[in-house]
Amino acid sequence: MTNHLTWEVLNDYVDEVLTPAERAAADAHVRECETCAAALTELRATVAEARALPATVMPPDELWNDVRATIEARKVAHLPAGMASARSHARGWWMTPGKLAAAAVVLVAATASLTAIAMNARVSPTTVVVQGTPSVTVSASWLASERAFQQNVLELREQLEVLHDHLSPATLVKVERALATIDLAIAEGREALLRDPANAALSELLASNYRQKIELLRRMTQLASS
Amino acid sequence: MIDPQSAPTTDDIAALVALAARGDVSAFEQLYTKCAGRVYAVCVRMTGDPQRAREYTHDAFVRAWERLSTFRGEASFETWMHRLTVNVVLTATRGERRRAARFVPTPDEPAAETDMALSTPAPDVETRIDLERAIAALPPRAREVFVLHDVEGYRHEEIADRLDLEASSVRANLHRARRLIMRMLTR
Repeated sequence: MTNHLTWEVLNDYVDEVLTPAERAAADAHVRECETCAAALTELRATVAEARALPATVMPPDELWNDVRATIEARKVAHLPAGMASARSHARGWWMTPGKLAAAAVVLVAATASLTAIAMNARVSPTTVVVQGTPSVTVSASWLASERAFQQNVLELREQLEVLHDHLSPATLVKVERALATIDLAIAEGREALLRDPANAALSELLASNYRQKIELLRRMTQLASS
Repeated sequence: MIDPQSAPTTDDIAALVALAARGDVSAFEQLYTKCAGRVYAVCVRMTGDPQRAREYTHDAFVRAWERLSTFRGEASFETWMHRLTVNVVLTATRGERRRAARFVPTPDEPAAETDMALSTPAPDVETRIDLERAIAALPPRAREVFVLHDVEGYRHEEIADRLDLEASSVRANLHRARRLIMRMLTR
């Protein structure tokens, strides 16, 4: 038999999107044509196998820890959507001592897995102190400290860039996510401090975030170079 | 009290969603446990890449966490999560294509892609690679359409809407995907 059913018609037949007339014509052809009947059977089998694939494929075990770290960090940086209204009433949210403490804890959590990587690699933890920790007001010395911090970050970033290939892609992703979390906290803390320059707790939190960024970069640089 | 050892009921799910929306991470972990396999399955099949699937699964749950308050319960949580996951994957892959298109022609131009895909022997064709591997080896757009239609049960029109394609293009990609898969499975 010539004029076999086209591939498109066979597919539309399986998907049941042919018009009644087209369907009747295809049925008539398939009854007479073994080639098209076989092609239709094979196509149906393929589609049936796809539909029968397992609905679930389990992700890597540690994935929840990454999800948890991210949402814990955002829980502080941005209150959960369900608490959006609370945020609107909390203009001075960053200025609440309890929340400030929580923020520090969460930032540690956000980088906990990276710290674990560094510790597992037997890199000695390094305590980094940013020169000239800011005083209680945003002053010239504070701005100088911030410039020193940024220079320090730049240098560590350059070192890490050189050693980039020594870290696994998964670790690099974690590093960037943790850095993004810290940068967000720094940006919000800085904004809050500009609104309330005399707030000592804010100032300390901001300095703490800066120190944490430096420490994270330094540890990753050490890990990469080891 | 929700027993973490037993499968959550519909009421449990609603309670967990309510708790998680108020910031309860433990409740969200139970929702994660319930849905992670389904979410990861969609991600890994649509991308054909376990590393990206891991990343998108992460992003889907983070986005779900941020949007829990928008879950109204009209559909089941699993359905809501599934649709959110598909959106995450499609948004990400759309961005990747846009970036790639700045440097090379898009791999989803039908004519070029079809010629290339059909003329290149599948890596394991002689050993009858299984269906999962065949899906992973499909061109990106064909894979997305095939997974959404044949695995996940979406209709042509819905896929066209999600992928911002004409319905005819969805059908063409689906037919091409099936042809390629049957060749890879040596049918």
